[in-house]
Amino acid sequence: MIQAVLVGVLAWMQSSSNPLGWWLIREPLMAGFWVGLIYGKPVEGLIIGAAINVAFLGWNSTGGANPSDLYSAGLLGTAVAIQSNISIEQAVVIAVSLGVIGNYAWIMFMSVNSMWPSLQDKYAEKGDVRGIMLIQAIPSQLVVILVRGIPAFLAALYGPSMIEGLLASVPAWGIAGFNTVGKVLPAVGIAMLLKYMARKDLLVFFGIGFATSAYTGMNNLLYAAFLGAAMGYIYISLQPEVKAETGEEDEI
Amino acid sequence: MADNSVKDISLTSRDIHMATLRWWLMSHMAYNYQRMQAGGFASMMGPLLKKLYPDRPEEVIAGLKRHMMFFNTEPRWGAVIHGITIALEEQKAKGEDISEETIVDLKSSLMGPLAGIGDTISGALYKPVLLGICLGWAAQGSLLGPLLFTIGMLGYDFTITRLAVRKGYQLGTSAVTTILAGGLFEKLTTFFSIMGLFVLGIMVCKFITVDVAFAPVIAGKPVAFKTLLDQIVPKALPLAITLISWRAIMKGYRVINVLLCLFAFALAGGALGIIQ
Repeated sequence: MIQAVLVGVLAWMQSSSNPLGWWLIREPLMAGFWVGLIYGKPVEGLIIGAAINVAFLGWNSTGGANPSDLYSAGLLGTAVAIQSNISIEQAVVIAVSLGVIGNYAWIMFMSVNSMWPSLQDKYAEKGDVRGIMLIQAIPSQLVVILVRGIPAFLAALYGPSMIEGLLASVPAWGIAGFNTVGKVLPAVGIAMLLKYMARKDLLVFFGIGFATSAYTGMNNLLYAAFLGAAMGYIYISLQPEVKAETGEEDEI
Repeated sequence: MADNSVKDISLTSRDIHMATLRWWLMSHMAYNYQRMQAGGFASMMGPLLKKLYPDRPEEVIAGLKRHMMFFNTEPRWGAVIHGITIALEEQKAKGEDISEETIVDLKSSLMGPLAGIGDTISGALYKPVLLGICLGWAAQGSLLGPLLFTIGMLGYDFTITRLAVRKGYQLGTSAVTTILAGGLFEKLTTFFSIMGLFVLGIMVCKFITVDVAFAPVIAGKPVAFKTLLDQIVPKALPLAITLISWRAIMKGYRVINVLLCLFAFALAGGALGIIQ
């Protein structure tokens, strides 16, 4: 019960829409860690959160079409998974599905908040700066508690037993299929990123990365980042200057 | 109009700093479909307007109204607009001939391009690469993952916002041409794209762990397709799935539909024992 309340509070803070909420709690990696901490298994939560996060690698808050909601997927996915002893692949599938429902919370948040500018207009009319700032900061938090906090509390409380009951009734071949889904879904996250990043002239670097890892088994991403940075530097250095008048070199 | 009362209304660096902080914390707090970040912009400008027009409430009201107009950009790099706007508002308060339209037009015309720049660097390049590295650690249960991610993102978020406001303020109206000129931005994105794409290629192998399980018995011997495939192109299945999904998204299929197709494909394949 207390743990479910804490999950609800976490869901509120996570969606309070400021950089602290974004980078301390929002990303499934972070949400997984905090939820794990609430249930006394921070490392386990972290591992589940990280697995869920891969499916959201290309998640961009500005894009219109999100595959599913990053907030609830990470937070609720971990909360449910950590309590009901399911595999990590199953956790990913459940998280992404929860996120599809969670998308409505985002739409609600943006819609209900659309009332506030009209109020702020009235304060602007009076030159009341304080009023505008208060409206900016406070009422939206009530919306967040309503559309995120309370649902998260309920999901953390009743979700696990529901999911467990559901999984218990699925035959073995269904579980096998389910597990495979969890292994495949990260492809969406990576494909979305590829859409943002892919420039025709640079696509070959994606190929080099894949070939390196596929044939050597190397998959240390920090090492990869160093290699990638070095290649980027070399590539830029070898390119002719765009205009000779600016001799600026970017030191990175 | 009131240029006879020559008070010193110059903004101090503390004023700019507080404005930056207000924007940083409040930009999205009441994010909504009607005006997006307008409330955040007005909240940032409000106290500055009061300082700029100590005895002219009607100017404060006019200022608040023009900053309650629809506004949406990437909150970090886009904050260049805020710096420029602050500079313009200050000049205007000091009696320069800057019209309301100039300020509003400038904001609306810059928010798109700067959102494009910001979203590319923050959302599509910096965050995924940092996230990828931290996810690797986190997947092994290392607390280094969340720790580095938080420091890396919060630090980036605040530093870029602060720099953007200050640069914008310093450079005034000429800001954007200066930033876009000289090919610096072009180089920066090329560098990050190469790094990002290379890491992404490795992520395909690391994170998509599906494999061929199909091994029919032919002439008394099981033929393991996985071994055969691995001798030609290891990890071919993850690559194929990624590329097909990417092409589908590029062709304009909605992400949710791609997701559902993959879901169905994997569920069927897994249930039939073809892939695992």
